[in-house]
Amino acid sequence: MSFLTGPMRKHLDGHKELTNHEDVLKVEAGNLVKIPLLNGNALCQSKVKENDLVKVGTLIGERNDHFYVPLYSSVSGRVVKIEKLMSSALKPVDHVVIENDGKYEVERPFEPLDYTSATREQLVDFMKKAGIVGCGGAGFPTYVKYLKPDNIDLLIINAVECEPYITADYKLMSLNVELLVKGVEALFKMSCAKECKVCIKETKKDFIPVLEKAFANVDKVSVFAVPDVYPMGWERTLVYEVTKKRYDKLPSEVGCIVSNATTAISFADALVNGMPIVKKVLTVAGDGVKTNKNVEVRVGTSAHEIVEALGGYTSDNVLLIAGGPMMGKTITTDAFVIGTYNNALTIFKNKDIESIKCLRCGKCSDHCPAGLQPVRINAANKAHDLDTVMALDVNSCIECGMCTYICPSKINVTEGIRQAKRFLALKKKK
Amino acid sequence: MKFTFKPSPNYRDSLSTQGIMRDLTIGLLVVFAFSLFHYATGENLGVSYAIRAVGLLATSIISAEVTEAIYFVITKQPVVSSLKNSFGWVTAIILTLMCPINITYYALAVSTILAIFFGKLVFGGFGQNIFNPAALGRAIVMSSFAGSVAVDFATSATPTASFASAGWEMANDTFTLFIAQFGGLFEMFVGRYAGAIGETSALVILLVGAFLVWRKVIDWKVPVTYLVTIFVTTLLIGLVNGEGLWYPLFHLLTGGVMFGAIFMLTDPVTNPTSSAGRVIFAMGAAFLTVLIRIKANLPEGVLYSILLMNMLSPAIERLTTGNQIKTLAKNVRSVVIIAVAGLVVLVGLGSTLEAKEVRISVPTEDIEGIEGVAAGFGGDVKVTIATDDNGIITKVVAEGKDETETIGGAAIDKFNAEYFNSLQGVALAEADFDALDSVSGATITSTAIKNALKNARGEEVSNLALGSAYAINDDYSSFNAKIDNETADGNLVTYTIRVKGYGLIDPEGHAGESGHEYARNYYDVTVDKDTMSITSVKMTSFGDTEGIGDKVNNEEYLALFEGATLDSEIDTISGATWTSRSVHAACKAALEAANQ
Repeated sequence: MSFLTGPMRKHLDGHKELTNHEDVLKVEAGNLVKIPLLNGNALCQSKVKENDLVKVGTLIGERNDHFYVPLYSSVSGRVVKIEKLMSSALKPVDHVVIENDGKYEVERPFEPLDYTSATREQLVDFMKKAGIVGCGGAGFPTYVKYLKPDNIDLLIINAVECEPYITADYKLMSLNVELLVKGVEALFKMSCAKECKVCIKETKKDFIPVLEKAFANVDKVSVFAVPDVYPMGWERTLVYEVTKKRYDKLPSEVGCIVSNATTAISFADALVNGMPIVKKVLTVAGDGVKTNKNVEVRVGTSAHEIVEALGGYTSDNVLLIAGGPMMGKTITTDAFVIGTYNNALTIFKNKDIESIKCLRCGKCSDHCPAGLQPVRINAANKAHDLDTVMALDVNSCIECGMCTYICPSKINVTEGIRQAKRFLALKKKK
Repeated sequence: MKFTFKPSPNYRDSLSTQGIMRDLTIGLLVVFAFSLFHYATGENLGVSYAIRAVGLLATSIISAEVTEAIYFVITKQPVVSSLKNSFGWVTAIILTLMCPINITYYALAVSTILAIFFGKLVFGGFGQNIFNPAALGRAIVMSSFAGSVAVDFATSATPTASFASAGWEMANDTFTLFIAQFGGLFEMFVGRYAGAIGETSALVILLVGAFLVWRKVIDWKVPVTYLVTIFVTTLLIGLVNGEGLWYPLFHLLTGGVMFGAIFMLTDPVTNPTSSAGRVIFAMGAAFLTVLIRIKANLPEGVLYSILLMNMLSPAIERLTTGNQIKTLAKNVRSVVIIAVAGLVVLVGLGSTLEAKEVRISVPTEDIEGIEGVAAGFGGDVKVTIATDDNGIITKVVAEGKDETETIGGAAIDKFNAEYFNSLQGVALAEADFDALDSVSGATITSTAIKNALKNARGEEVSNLALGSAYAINDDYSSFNAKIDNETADGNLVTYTIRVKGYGLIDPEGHAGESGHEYARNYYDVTVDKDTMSITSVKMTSFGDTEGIGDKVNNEEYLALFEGATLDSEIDTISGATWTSRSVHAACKAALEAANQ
């Protein structure tokens, strides 16, 4: 009943045409490759020391808290040191610095697995060992979702890619349709779902028939076209679009598992070729970089090397964003490296934006995909009325950026919400 | 090389507040342009009206901008950029469009200044105000400058005011006549009728509204909820009272409903911010609009409904606090409860509506025929009788522009619309004009019409419109007749008598009790002592209400008293009963004096 909530989403100019039809450029790793010991927000422990020799596929780090995520080397060579560097999550993080010998010798960390004959438990275990993480951006370890698939009706493969400028998923899918099909079949088997829907934007008119053809012989898997709106790729929005159901914490409450299409491809790659994620396809776009293109790079390649390969910057004052322009963070150095979880670099010329007074138009409330009322959260926060901030359910905010995007007065609404969340967290601590 | 930090997102929609205000200004100016066209080409209007409209708009905009500029100078804010981002001109344009064309420049300027200062700036300027500043300005005009009008610019009665005086209720066939005065519902939709400068054309306002919705300037839910709620409410009220579909349509088209829906209720600053809140806001405004119309002593409800709902905005915000997904069920419930409660209350109140007498000025047809004239209440009443070759009456039309609009004028309309119909098909020579009905309460005009009909047929008619008869011997003590002088000539005695006139209005006959000196009429009454009857009455000095009482000073009327004795009953002149009875009082005094 969007009459009383507003549309909670919005079509925005995706600028996908900048990179959609360009070939993927392979950018070779430099002499030094730096692999961040990071998964999501969790730090990982190093499994190597200075001067250890590593190959492509050598285990170099592990996340070992309540989740297990291994990290593998993407090049062959010698470990120079372990160094604290700025990561794309805007945090100083330990990086394993490897001197690249350029030979790319391979050491398979695990053997390929025939998913058609393997049991569900074997597949989950394999996924855990392969270090498959969600490629939607958060890097959540994928195997966790498939541990106990109780009462799952529907597996949703998220190929929506709703962030503007980014086409990496689309590019990877169109180049690896076979792997995609295999990955989806394997995930489908693991999910124990009755049905699987591969969700893609209805505007991808050329690619939908390709996918439909590819899945034509796969039982109970269908292609599901969704509207070209932001944030269609957000789990909640996508699950609601497909099932018209809303859930409280996890999609499994309404019988759904959601996995990214790139995750499926990475998983298939591991199953077929016995390789973990050592390469990433990234979209590099925006008016701040000379050439807009998708690039294939090894994990650990620095943003600086990628931008140099694309002809450099177009301005001496840019916003360098790890990710898309809506949710990606601006990083204040281009020395940071690409991790398994990155999918884009967006680079803009830095322009000043003049903001004026809020006219209380409520567009932020109408379009918030989480159903929040950002204008009122900010007003309550300014008045230090944390009870109201709490009543307005501020912690449901995923910082998708819609409110700042839509604000006609050009106010940094999302930043205000972040601040309100921090104040609330501080108060709770007391 | 500089890598700047900015919090995400770093992507912006092209829609800006400045753009919203620009589009809104364009929309308002389109509405204004229609008004100029209407004034320049309309009946009884002209280019001078259009020029005045431009002058008013300029006055309001300049007042608004100067007020804001002074405020920014005093509060030490950068004047130019603050003015640009304060959008005072939008308030000024909306206010001007809501005012009648005959408002004085002075009244508009003062209202604009007060609206901008007390409606907006004291709250902290743009985005902070509680009340819609333009609506506040209009309320100031209504309450403080109602009489401040430029006399050169005539405005005729608006449909809203006329319908309000009819009690917001009318029989179906009366409405047909009523709406014909304004050219019909379709003309009202197009907007070519009398009203505020920019509020009349539903068509233009709706087109501009569609443009503004398309440009994402306004939220379509607000006008749609408002108009649908008014439509449904008034449709039900109409059904309860046996009205047709015209009833809700008239409600939608009249007054500021369309203008309010598109330009006032959608003001984001004074609205709730959430969709649910805005739906409740618009629905509440609709119910209040109808409530004020049918039950309050105000001609129009739109303005005050908006101001009242502005006041309730914070309460609605509180009601809709929370995550919109999680509170959806509660919000649906709130909307349903408010809708049902509003409908029940309003339809209940609506069922008690009673139609009042209403003056409908039907344009008189020009017909060829024989004409007759007779004296009416305020001036001459003229009739034209058209006949065919055989002397059969085909059409009768009466006119009387000097008659009191709501009494005599209404009676003439009644004759034109109904009573004359019985004459059609009757031979002129045989028509019995006295048999025509009279309109009660408008005896003089009714009698005058009948006399004029006789006059048209060539009969001599008295111009006296006589009312009830009174005995000379009645009690006239309150007239306080006093004999000032008497002169005798044989058996004829002439008394000079002063009698209290009607004076200050006191129909109960308590003249003089309050100690005021009342107007006096002087009469010379001559009595024949032999027969104890009056031989002549003359009015020597008239001190009564001009235009009414002076009808008594008429030889033809005073001649009625000749031969009167104490036992006689003499007619009064209808509409001038008091003054007529002052003659009776004088005669009684004279006869009693002669009797002693």
